[in-house]
Amino acid sequence: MTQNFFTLLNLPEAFVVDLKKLDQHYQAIQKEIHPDRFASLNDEAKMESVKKTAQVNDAYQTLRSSIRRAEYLLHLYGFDINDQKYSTVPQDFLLQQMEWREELETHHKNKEVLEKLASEVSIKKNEKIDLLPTYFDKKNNLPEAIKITRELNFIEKIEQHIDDALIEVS
Amino acid sequence: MALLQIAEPGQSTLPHQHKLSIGIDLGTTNSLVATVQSGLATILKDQDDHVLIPSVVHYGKNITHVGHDALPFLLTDAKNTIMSVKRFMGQSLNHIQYKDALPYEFDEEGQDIQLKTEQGTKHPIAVSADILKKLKTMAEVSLCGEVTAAVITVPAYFDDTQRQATRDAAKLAGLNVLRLINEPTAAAVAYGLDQKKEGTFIIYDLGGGTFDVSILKLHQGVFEVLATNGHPHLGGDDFDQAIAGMIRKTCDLDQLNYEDKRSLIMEAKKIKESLTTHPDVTAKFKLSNGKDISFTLNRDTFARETNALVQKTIQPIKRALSDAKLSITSIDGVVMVGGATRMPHIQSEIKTFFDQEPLNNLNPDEVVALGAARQAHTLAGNKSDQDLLLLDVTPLSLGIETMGGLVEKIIHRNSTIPVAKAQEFTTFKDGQTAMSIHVLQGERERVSDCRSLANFTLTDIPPMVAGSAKIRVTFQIDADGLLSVSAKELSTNKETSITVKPSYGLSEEQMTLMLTQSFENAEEDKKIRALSEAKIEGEQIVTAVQNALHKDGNHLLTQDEIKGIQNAIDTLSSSLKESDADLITGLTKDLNTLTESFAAKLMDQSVGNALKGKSIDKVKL
Repeated sequence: MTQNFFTLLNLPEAFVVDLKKLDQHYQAIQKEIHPDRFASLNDEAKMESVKKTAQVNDAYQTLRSSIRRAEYLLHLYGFDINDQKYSTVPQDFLLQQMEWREELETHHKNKEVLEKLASEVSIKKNEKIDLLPTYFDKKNNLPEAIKITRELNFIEKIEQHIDDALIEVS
Repeated sequence: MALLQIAEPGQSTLPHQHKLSIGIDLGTTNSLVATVQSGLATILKDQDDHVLIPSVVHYGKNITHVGHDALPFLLTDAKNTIMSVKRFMGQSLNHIQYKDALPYEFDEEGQDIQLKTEQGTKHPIAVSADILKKLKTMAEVSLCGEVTAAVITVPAYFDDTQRQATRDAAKLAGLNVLRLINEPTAAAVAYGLDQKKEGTFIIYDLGGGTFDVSILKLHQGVFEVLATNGHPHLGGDDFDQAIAGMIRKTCDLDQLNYEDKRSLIMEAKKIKESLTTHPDVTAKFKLSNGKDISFTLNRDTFARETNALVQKTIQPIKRALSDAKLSITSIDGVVMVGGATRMPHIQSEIKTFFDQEPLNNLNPDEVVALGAARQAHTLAGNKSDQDLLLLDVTPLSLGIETMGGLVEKIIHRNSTIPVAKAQEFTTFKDGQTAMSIHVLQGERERVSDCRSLANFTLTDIPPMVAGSAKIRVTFQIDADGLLSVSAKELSTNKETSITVKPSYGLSEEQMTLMLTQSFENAEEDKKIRALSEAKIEGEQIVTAVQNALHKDGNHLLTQDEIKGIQNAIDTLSSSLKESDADLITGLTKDLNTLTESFAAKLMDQSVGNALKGKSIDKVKL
């Protein structure tokens, strides 16, 4: 079975993660188990190393991103944030989303507008991420954590679309 | 059983073995071999002191010429002289660009590109194998010893099919490939180690036929690729074709024969290279019908006419930056790799884009091979002076076909490799015992816009009511960037068999046939070699397992398990005194199987140790 990502990387199971420690632990493990350490050896060892390294990579990628980490913690706590019952989105968030999408569609060729939009979205994203530590702390307010994490998923998507548009212009 | 390397670092090479490992840059236009000698990476030269070996093969009636020997035939026997074969690797016939400008006769049957030559139909994999054989021999002559292991570089943007094709070519050439590594990553290794640099670097690698851009973080011997992107068919060759096109247009040429097509490309290449040092160039040459051609080109016109090609490299840079979530200002340096980066208008475009002077302090032709040699040296088990660790990524997203011809992504591009992702499927009909999964690579949403890798057919699914079987399919990309798929039915915990039908490449039978052909005259050699290889492997595992038992056996295994392993060691040891390769290989395999769970336990233990032990101190700032 897959090991708990926090245990695997020897970090306390919490939303707030010491990213420097995360990097250090990850690299220390990689230096021991990466397939490059077994390249001239037999197939079984290689396969074992590929399997384990893939797990460690998965754990690292998940814990490194605030949004992935939030999703993972909620999953550990037994919540499936993609469940129908969480699908209602607050009115003001919905309006904000529509506004952004409209802006993106109307100005998808305008570099300046896109850059302004990107930074606006990014600020909103960080504001929401900053709310998460308190909600997760001592499982203070998990329903709110679920709501915010879902909203962050939407924000990430629009952020990607803005980025794609920015690559196309100029 | 290898986990011993953890226990005894740097001891995997037995003292009586003299192991030579090489790094190969298998380029579109030229190839290079390098090795590490007394701690220094050096490019190997052939007997005429050449460093660059042209990736050209001539198939004459009874003789094959490779490299410099093949060059004279480029013009005299164009159809049988293959250059830039790398562009054909892993490609099907309908993907070739400028097919009419190429002096080859293509076999129109089948999907794969096949070239008709004096020596019969040649698959690009076989042509690449001939280049690799030449490089191997060259290295063996130069080093006076047998090359036992190699690292081969591939463009970072190569897909699974192209990587597999390269692996197959190496197998045909009789090379033991330790790893395929990405060209920009190899360049970063050479650059980072040579210049002792740390920070975030962009590698801009424009070769003869491929373009890669990789963003790496270099920190204390760890080379972490943050993102990579590129263009699978963009390189110096395209600039040659552009000039050749200009000559055709200006001089009103069409309906050229094979030789004239080739001389046009070669003249174009010369013009391109001269324009690096001269503001304008005039080429004068004769066509086979005696017609005199004179063509003048200046730098500005060349830059203007090929600006679209240069711009094609900018888009991938932006994508890579976006994927790495970095802006231009956070880049500490731009390292230029590949001969094509010598073109002045590329240098100036990159300088403008990044607002900094690109780094040209290493030879752009050699840096990839040097990095590959370093990595080969480390992978072969030599203790390296630096704790070198490469963390690379997969360049393209991997997905499966779903309803309506759409692709559902399973592994996203720029995931650090090795990576494994599982997906659960269920049956559609009562009693269904098989299902088929179509795997694709690419970023687009429609199946028709992505690269088809293979069809996997799962059989032996236990018959159940529709929807109640739960089949977990695991997609794994290993450190070479190669895909493998495994499947398990969860309610019965039964492995399902998988048959793979790759969309491209040599079938198992074709491979075997080609391998036998190449060994036909060396049947005896082959036996001797097989025996000595089996013995070396047997000895290695015996030493390894004994060490591991001694060190960790008592606290990780039961007495019965130890006894069983000890028995297997004894049987294998006694077989090593005989000359039966099959027996030795069989017993080695038995011992391997027996120690599998021991290996897993050691792996877990070493993760634990890594976190507790010294390794942490090493990475501390």
